[in-house]
Amino acid sequence: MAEIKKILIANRGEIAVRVINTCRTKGIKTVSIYKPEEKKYPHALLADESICLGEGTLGETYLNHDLLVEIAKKHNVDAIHPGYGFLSENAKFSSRVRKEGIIFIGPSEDSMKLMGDKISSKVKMEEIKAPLIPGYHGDNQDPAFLAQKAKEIGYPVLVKASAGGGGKGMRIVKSDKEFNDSLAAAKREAMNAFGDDKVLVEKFIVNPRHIEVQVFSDRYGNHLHLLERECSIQRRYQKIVEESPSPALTPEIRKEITETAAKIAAGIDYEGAGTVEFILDEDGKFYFLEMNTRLQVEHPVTEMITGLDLVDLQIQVAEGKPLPLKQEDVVARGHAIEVRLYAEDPDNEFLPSTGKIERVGFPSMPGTRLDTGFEDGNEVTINFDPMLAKLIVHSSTRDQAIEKMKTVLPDVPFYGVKTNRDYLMRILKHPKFVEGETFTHFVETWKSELGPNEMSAEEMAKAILVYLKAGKSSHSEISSSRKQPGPWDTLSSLRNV
Amino acid sequence: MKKKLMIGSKEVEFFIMKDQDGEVLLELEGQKFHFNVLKNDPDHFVFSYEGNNHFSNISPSRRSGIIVDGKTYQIGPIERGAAAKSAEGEAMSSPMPGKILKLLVKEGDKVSKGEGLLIMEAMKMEHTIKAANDGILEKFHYSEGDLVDGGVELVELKGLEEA
Repeated sequence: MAEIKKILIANRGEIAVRVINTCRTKGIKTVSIYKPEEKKYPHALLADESICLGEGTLGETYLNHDLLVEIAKKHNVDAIHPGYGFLSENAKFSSRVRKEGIIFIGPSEDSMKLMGDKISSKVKMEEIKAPLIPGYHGDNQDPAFLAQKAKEIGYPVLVKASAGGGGKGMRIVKSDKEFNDSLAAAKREAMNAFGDDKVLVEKFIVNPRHIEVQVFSDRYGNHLHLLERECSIQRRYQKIVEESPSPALTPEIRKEITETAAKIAAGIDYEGAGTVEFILDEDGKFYFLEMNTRLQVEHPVTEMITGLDLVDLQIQVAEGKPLPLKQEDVVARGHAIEVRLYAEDPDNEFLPSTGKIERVGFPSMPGTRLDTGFEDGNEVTINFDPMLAKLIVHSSTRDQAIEKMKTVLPDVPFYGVKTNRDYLMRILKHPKFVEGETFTHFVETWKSELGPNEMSAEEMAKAILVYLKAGKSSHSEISSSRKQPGPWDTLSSLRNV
Repeated sequence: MKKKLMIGSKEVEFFIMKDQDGEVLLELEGQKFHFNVLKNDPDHFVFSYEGNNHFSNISPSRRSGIIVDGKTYQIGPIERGAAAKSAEGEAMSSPMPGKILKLLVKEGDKVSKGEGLLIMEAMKMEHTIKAANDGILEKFHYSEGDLVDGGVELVELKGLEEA
């Protein structure tokens, strides 16, 4: 067992800050890294030591294996935490780190490679009898054979180019009658787009939900699940609203899906934090999608309802300690929702926006959490992920969590850059979201209702009032506010702290 | 006194009929609105309207918007030409680091304003880079599959008068 006393965080932004915070509570020293333009960003300012990576592309800086190992050795760290993204699922990097005698806080190279590959992971899932979307992925392309397969799978089915992506060479087939025509069309499109007309046939899930299960394993064969998260609200294949518990799971389905995830972790002899992603259909059947072998962006939702610190658990497991809890200790309390605030324009194809942040703000209610890598005065540039912050709320019920989120979203204006805040607000207010009818096509289905609405005269009048009066003294106040600001006036800016 | 402000892309005309001791009466679009300012803090501005309290805040520079009842407004003086200017140009560089997926036209092609020139992928999203004006596509600085940084020029587009 190796005690970790100092950690290099091979990441930036909010996740680096997140890891630093846990290290501070554990008395672990931290080393953070930054590029010259990030000198005044929180992740560079909060660590015990912060190292400038110098100018260069991501490959020359944050993703530079040699440079990171060199920094780790020079600063005598015991372990490297990769965060998410960047090198967190890079088997080559983790193996290099371990060869240098440094602990990599994450699973083994074998787990990473196995689950990082769509084909090998599916083969393994078949082997351990995890549920997969019924389908035919073989070489036999005879139309009659494929039609037979479609019948066995059960309509509706999806005919999809094997080489595919982006919806090209893809057809939803609702019945036997349509099959041959749709197959021919899909094959034609596939040939045009990819130069290969091989297709696969899969069950089409009409109203899918994205349900994922947080798993945690130590090296002593303890494989726990930390319940589920529902992340069906996505735009352009990225999650923007996440919650736990899922409004769609009955206790029976919850038991089944969480136990399946733990079984998968056990089946691949996993270690550390992982997330098993599933698709859930309307009948409550779920199918394995993929497994992420790292800490997930939306992990705070799980932390809020379980009261656990997932980074702390990661560190303990990496030290070689057994998990400090048993499955029966994992209990959900209340409901948590996370929204991701992005620097982007939802009314213009979610194109990233840039600018200098005038005011980050801080959520004003108890049971809230803001994870951000920005502070007032920081620039949002196009060189990094446009995610500004994650705002997380915890309440007794889902309805209360939604209301709380609506209350605290205006507390974090991120003035100075265009954000998706109003868009998130429109999602939270949408009756279908409130009812828990959250399918992965939510954003697409309700596109027009989620667009900006016309301003009423009343709204315009209120906006004018605030613009004209806020922060400006009115005539009657001039005499009293003419004095120099005293210490108590200055302290009023700390109101939210 | 008649006044004008821009709210979003809308020019709004209004009258301040009263502004005294925190009491403000506005008229716009033929309707009267009677407000009472309860707390004047730029980060927490509270006012009442028809018996209900409303919460708002304003950006420190006043130029980067306000939030009222959870909704964001861009509001400020009317600056002629400024809005129209920012809507054009600068669109032909990469919005963020990513990969060039597909070139949609050939070098030497005549293109018209708004026509898609190339598709790039970044952060799991596809972005079509469009021609900022009519002209001849002189050169693509990158090929399909190339990785590019954010903010770099992707194409050389000669305006028709230059070509």
